Amino acid sequence: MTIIVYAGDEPDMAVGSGESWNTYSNYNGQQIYRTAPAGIYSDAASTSNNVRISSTPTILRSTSSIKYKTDVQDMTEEEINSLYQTRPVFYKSLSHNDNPNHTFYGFVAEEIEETCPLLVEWNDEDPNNLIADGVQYDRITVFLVGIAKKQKTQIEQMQNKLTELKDRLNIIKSREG
Amino acid sequence: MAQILYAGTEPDISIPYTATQNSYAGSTQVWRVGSTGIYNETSGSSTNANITSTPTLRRNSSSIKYKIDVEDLTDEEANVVFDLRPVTYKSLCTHDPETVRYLGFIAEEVANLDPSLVIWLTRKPTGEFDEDGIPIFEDIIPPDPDGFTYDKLSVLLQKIIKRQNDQINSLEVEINDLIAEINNLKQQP
Repeated sequence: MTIIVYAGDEPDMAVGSGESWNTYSNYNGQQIYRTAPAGIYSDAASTSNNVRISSTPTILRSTSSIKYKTDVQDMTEEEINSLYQTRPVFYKSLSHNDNPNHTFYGFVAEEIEETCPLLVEWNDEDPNNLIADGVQYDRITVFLVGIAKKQKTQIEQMQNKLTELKDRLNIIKSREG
Repeated sequence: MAQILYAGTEPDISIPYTATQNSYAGSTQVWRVGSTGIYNETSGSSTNANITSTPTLRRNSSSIKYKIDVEDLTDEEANVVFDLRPVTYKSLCTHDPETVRYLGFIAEEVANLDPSLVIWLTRKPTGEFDEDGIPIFEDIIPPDPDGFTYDKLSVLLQKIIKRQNDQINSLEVEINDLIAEINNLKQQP
């Protein structure tokens, strides 16, 4: 059984099934919503991840609508190619929340800051002194779209050149024959 | 500052308390999240959570026990990858630092290409509460494109990269054949 509490006039979030905010009480002026007995882990979904924890710390919803964006620019080829500079590693985790024997795949945030800064997840406790803390793994797909497009063009060009070479070879062979 | 509670003897989720369980109220267990709370609880594992329009925090799953009507993704469906526009931008979200350039896609652009790649906002709070103090929501019709399924895009990219790998492999074979043929020609008097 899970309960979530929120300060302020509007609830920010329920943990567990939102259809079952079936208990309401007041604790020190805080609104308290009790959610379904099933609890959060049983409350599975197929949607994509859109939750991040800020340095504040607050749970935030990650968005992509144009209404949250300003100064939009196409990614440059140079920016897209910066993904090639990254170093994929595997490692054991020092976090006490992780199984110490499990092998994790990933990148090292400090290295990503040097090679591919767009991918860094920043600790923004001090907005004037951002510290590389994580990697925005989900955004790697944005680079990969740029790379897949470029490789599609390259493959098509190579196929055309190859066809041309075969044609030329056939002409040479027919002359010699 | 938000407070998180859970009732019952076994907590379902703790929004970390790391030595900051400094409030306790009656039959309901109340944990106040300290200033060093949730951010310091780290993990090397992947993200697996989403916030719905309800709004509810959910765990994302991939087991077959949650799936029905499974079909292979077609080549044509994966081709939407080539229509996406990677952009960089500055964020208008209040929690984001103004100095950082972010990268991503624009949900509204993607909504026209493939609605399955969009996270849709389907409900919003009216600001009204019922007599029990429970918030009243209303449906957003039609739903608003709000987010992008960055992690699920890797599924489409797997299909594309596999295809491109096949294409490169056959190009290599064809080039080697061609080189062999040219070498044969050269050896002829």
